[in-house]
Amino acid sequence: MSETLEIFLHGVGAPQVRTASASDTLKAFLAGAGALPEPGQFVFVGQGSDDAGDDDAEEDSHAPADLAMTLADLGIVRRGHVHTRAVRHVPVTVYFNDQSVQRRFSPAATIARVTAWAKRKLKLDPQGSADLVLSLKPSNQQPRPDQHLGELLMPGVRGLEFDLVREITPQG
Amino acid sequence: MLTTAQRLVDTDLRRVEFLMGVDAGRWDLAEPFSVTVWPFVYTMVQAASRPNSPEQLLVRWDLENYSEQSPTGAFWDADTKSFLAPARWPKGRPGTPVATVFKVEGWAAPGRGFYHPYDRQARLNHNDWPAQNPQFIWTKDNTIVDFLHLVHRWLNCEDYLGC
Repeated sequence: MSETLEIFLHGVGAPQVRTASASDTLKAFLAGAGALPEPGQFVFVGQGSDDAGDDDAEEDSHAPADLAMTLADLGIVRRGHVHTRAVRHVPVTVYFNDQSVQRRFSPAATIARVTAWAKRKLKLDPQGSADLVLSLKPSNQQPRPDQHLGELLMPGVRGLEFDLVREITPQG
Repeated sequence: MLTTAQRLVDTDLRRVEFLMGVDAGRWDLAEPFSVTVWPFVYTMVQAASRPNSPEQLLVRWDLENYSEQSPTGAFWDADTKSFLAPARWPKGRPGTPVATVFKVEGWAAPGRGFYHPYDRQARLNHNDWPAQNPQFIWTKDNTIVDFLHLVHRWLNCEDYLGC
């Protein structure tokens, strides 16, 4: 009997948890959830990952998933994340002091991943930059570390810009 | 029958945002949500590895009037069933947000709350905080997960020195 999986499904309203069989194809799972992508939209499995060696790449290596593959073959064990109806890339710019760094990320990339990349790319000392967080422009909202870039894209907006700012220390 | 606050807490603890943190090992309920211990909810929060320090800490949240009113939380000692002794609270590099939010002296509820605008005990008598920290004004749209994320981040950044 095929293993039952829990899938965190993103991209169709609020994130939701659904169950699936490891032997289900991604297409069958999405069809059952009413979450198949439209032409020109993409599906990503997982959240991507970086190591320091990838920092200079202009584009995230996290590629869209093949809908014909099974959830097991896509590497989902027990639980996993599926992002549907997504754009191919989210162009990201991070500003810090007088510098800025850019990269095209997968829409499944998390704020934590982008923050870590930006600090490495800007060659910031890990200890001295521990209290730096991303602040979304122009709202100045500080997204949670587990939020995905695709969730932050407003309709009609193709890219995201952030300031890297120091977390405020409460005074008084 | 659950009160509105209890129902909202129960709902938020079942949301994907909370479950994603559980799945990632960032936090978990230390005991199932129960009205018998209301207004308290107990969570474990993962902490970065530091010498002679635990890998996770128990937090007791007081969620009275959730989510009209913001939570107040503090580290808790399961053995003594009381607030964690001040000497055992997490330490932060001096001058950093970590050191400030976990400070156990010099304010109204030392060792019984987090010194942060989200914490309703810390928020008391700090009428200037909403203007100084507009991104941390608690509204009904916030959930306990927003606060959990902060505690997790403070316990897992380079400025956290251990307990």
